[in-house]
Amino acid sequence: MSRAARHAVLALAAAGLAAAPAAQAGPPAMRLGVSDTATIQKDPTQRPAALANLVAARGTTLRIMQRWREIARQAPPDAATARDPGWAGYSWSSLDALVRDTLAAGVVPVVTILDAPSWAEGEGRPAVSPAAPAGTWRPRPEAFGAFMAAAATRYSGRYPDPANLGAVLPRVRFWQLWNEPNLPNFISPQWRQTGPRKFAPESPGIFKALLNAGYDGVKGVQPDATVIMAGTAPYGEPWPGGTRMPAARFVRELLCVDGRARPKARNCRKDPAKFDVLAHHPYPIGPPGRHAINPDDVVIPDFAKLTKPLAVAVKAGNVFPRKRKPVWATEISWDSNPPDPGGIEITQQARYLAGAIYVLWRQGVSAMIWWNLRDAPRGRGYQYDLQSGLYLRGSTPQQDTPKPAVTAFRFPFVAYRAYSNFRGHGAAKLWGMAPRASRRVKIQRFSGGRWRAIKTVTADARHVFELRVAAGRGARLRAVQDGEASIDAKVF
Amino acid sequence: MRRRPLVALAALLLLAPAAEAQQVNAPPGNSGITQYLEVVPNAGGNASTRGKRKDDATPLTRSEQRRLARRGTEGQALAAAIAKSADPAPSAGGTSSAKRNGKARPASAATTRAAATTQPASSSSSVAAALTSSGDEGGMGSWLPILMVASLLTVLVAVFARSRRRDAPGE
Repeated sequence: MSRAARHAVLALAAAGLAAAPAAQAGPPAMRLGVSDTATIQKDPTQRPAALANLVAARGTTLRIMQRWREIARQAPPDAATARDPGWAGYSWSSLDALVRDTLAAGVVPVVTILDAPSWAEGEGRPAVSPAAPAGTWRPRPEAFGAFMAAAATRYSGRYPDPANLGAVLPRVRFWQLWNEPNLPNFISPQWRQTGPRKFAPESPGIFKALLNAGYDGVKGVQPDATVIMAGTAPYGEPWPGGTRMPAARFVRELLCVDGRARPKARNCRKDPAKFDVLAHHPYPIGPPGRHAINPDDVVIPDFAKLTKPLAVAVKAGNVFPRKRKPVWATEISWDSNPPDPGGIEITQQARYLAGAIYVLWRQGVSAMIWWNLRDAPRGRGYQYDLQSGLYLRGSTPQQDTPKPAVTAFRFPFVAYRAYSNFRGHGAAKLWGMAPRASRRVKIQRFSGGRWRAIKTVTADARHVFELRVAAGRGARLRAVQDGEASIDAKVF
Repeated sequence: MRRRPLVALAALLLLAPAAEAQQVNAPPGNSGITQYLEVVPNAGGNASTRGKRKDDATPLTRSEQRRLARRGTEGQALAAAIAKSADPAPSAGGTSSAKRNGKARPASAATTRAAATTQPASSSSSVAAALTSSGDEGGMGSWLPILMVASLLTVLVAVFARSRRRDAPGE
């Protein structure tokens, strides 16, 4: 090989090496998004500003909570009409605008459909009460399946936009079927009494029929859409017949799996649960690492209580499609003080948020949806609603003030004590999800009144970096990439 | 002198589990959101702590009330205090959909607030229930106080024997 040719080969190889990290760079290891039922969903005039705040927080996803009964107030005359998104009995206009505006802002919508219209509730409905609220009593699966087919057709990316002549409505790829089905607020009844002080789980069966009908409805129109199972609520009464069913018990029943410690599948291959993503709402009581006390409750570090039976069910064919499922946390939050005097301190909220992302990531969770972009209005009192927003509420979204949680959302970074001696000297384990993949991240330590660089690390293709540094209890550390700093993490 | 702290510690160890056995944990600041309360079983076992009779304002059963009444004014005062501070157990109904819509449902939110802030009442009723329970709900029933007293006696005997050994001549 001539010298010139050798140089050319070397130059090509160098160019290839330089280009490699960029080519490998992918989306962040965890999809981050929010819900915002009060402003983004309900107020079209303030929606663009609120969506801009979400984008500023580097959120990529908006979870939209859409009540079935708000769109389908009257019963379609037959099944074919129910599947027709153009039927005059449906009221889609507000969801049309919401989906249009969300995608126009560069945000991905995840549409959660919940709450049956009264005509779609099952037989034997008792009076509406906290034990059986409106829209929850044995919703009819065939009606739900037809409605989901209509919704998936309308937002297939091919359906004409009635508000813009010649244009089509944008596509919704992510559909979440129902919400917190282990609570009577969303599915009732939860249990069936089979004898004196004997109860059998009822809600998992009701939900499974809904889920499967909804899955078939969506996939019949959009085969490559992603169907997300309703997120289960974290806590239940730890006794049969309680008001709420514990999440792990509910999921085991849904997946036909028995046994808490050593899950074993029953044969439900003829009627598998159909979904692409398993979801849960790990609302915590304390810090991100705190486990639930009851064995079937599931909070942030307890996802194995769901993923273990899921793996068993997939192997046994009790789940369709029979393949490994991603796991999402579709609701989670902590209230902050300010504004809620009962909430956690506002910088603690940011640290907990980053800690939650880390603990979820460690367990293989690939998406986290934070409950609320902005605090709920005070209303009758802070105790009646959630002040867990990423932003402190102003009179308009433009006047909202970012909490430290926004920084944690943009650039999650945590520092945990690996070990320390009696003087507090030791090592800290650091983890972060940098804004950009395959680029350097500087680790800085606060000492002598200023931040000093102590180490440099490169984020991987999924934006993640992990390392250990010498830092004892109480040390303040942060990560910086391209001039953007994370929250400062304190080693505990 | 060293006996007193030991005895006090033993008594505390015996009483603490019963006093702490039932609790309702609410996420910080989220006490209006009933579905996210963590309910931990009480000393009576894995059974609901909700009022067994809908018409009663007190969480005590009739037999518990009778037994407390037999203990004179002190017992009656305890029964009255428990009844006064009785809280309804957390009901999951209501506020979830309220939260989703930003619309409050006052009744259930207020219920939860009470449930989250009146834990001592639940604890005291748990202690009373543990001491007087007939064991028909899967709990230890009358075995619990017997075991507690037996444990206390064992500790006292051990402490006494140890002090006797120490005081014995030749040691």
